[in-house]
Amino acid sequence: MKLTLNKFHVKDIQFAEKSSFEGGVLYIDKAELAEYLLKDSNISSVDFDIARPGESTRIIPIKDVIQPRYKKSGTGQIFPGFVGDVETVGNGETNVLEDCCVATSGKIVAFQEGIIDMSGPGAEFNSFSKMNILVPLIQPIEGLDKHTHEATVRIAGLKTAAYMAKQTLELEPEETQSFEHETILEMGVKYPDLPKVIYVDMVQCQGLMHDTYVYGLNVKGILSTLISPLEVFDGAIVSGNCAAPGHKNATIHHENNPIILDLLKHHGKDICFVGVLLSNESAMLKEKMRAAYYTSNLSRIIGVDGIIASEEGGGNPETDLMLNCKFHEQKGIKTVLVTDEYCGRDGASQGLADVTPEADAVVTNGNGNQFVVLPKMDKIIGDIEAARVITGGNANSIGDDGTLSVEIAAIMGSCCEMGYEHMTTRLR
Amino acid sequence: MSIKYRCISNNPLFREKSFPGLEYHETDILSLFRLISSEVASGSKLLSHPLTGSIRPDITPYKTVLISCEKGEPDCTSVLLMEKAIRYTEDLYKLREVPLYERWGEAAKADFQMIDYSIIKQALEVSA
Repeated sequence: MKLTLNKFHVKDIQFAEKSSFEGGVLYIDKAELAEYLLKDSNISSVDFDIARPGESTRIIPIKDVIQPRYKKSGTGQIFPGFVGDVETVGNGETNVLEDCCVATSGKIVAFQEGIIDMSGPGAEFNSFSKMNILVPLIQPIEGLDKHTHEATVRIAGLKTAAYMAKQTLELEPEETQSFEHETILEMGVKYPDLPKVIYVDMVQCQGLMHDTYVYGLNVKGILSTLISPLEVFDGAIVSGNCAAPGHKNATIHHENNPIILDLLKHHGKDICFVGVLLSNESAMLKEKMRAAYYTSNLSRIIGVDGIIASEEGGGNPETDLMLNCKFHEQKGIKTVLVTDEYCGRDGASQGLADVTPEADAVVTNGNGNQFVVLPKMDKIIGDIEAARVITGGNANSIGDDGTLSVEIAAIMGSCCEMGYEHMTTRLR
Repeated sequence: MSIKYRCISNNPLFREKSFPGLEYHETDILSLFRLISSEVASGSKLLSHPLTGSIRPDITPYKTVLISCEKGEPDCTSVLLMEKAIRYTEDLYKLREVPLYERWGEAAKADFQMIDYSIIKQALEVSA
C-alpha cells in the first residue's frame, strides 16, 4: 500500500466571498461553509473565528483539534465513516494543510475541554499555538441530549476540516511525502533479519466524552484489531474523547501519530514495523484483561519481537497499559510504554495509578499537575468562564487581572501520550 | 433477572434512576474507595476499575464501582487495585486545601453525574 501526502503550508486564514487557497492563504466563505454544516438538523447556528500564531488570543473550551485533509485519489475519503463512506483508506494521494488546524469549541459538559493560547507562556505547551486555527462555534438546537450534542460537534469539526483541505484539490503541492507499507507476509521475506515491531495504540471507549471511533465505529466492545499505519494517516481513527485536554488523543494526534511516523522512518532500516494494533480501554476489569490478552496474542501470532504501547488518558487506562506490558513480556515480547504522569505540583507523588515490575522501559510526556499562571489575553474565542470548570482549572482560576492559573492538564495536548509535544519528566 | 453485581456509588443519579443493585453512599470518593476496599478484603471481586473515565478523583465528586455479589477468598488483583486507587486519590486530595470536587456548581455536578452514569451503563452493555 502506498500513500502520498500532498502538503500545502498555510500562512494565514482569512474570511472571503469565495473559498480558495492562493499564495499560502486559505480563504473561507463563511456562508458556504455554514450552509454545509447546517445540513445537520441538530445545529441551530454556526459561526467561525480565526486565531493566528503570536496573537493575544485564547481559545477556550476546545473539544477536538483536527488537521484539514482531503483525498485527491485512492479509495475512500478522509475520516471514513463520517465524511467519507466506510471504504478502506490509506492509499493514493491525500491533500494536507500544514501549519493549520480546526479547533471545535462550544460547551457540551461543564469540564474536560481545553485551552489553546496563541502567545505567551501557555503557547509553549503545544504545537497548535504555532498554527493558523479556524474555530467553528456550534450552537445545537434546544434540548439536544449530550451524547447527540457531542456527536454533532465532532462531525461538524471533521466536515470543516475536509472542506478546508478540499480547496487545494486542483493545486500543485509545495511538498510531498510518500509512505509505503508492505503486507506482513512480504515484510517477513523482505526483512528476515530485522527485529519485528508492532505499535499498540490504546484507544479509550468508556462512554460519553470518553469514546474513540474507527471507520465511524465506536470501539467499545471490539476485540483488538489490526490496522495499517497508512489508514490512520487518512483519518480512520477519530477522537470523540474529552478525557482531560492535556492527555487526550485529539484527531490531529491520530492523523500525525508521531510513534507511527517514527516507526515508518526506521522501517526496513533497523526495524521491521509490522503495523498497528488497536487495543481498547474499557471501564470493566474483564474487558481490560480480554483486550490485553487478545492484543498480546495477536502480537504472538504475528510473531513480533517487540511492541511500543501508548496510553490514552490516565487513571484506569494505566491498568490497561500495565496489563499490555505484563502479558507481552510474559510471552517474551519486549515492551516499551508511552504515557504521562500526575505526580503533584512538586513532582513528589507517584505519577501513575497503576504499575507492574515488567514496566522497565517507560517514556513519559510530562507532569499534568505542573502549575502555570497564564497572562490575560486581549481576545477570547469561546467562553473564559469555562476555565473555572475544565480539568486543571478551578473556581479561582481567573484572577482579577485576567490571568489564568491552571495545571497544564488544562492545555490542549500539553502532555500528549503519543509524544506529539516536547515535555517529559526526569528523576531528581 | 438476577443482578450479578453490587453497584457501590455516591452518584445521586443512580438513586434517581433506581439503578439495579445500587448501594448508595452519600460520601466523598476517598471514603467510598475505603468502603469498597474493605468489601474487597472480605472477598468481593472488583468488576469495574475504581478510576473509571479519565476524570481524576480529586476533580469529579462522583464515582461508581461494580463489585461481585459472591464472596470468596480475597482476590489479589482487586485488593491491589483498590490500594493503588486509594493512594492515588489521597495524593491528589493533598494538592489543595479545599479539593476541587467540593467547588462545583449544580450544572457541573449534573454533568459529572451523567458522565459517571454513562460510563457504568456502557460498561454493562459491553460486558453483559
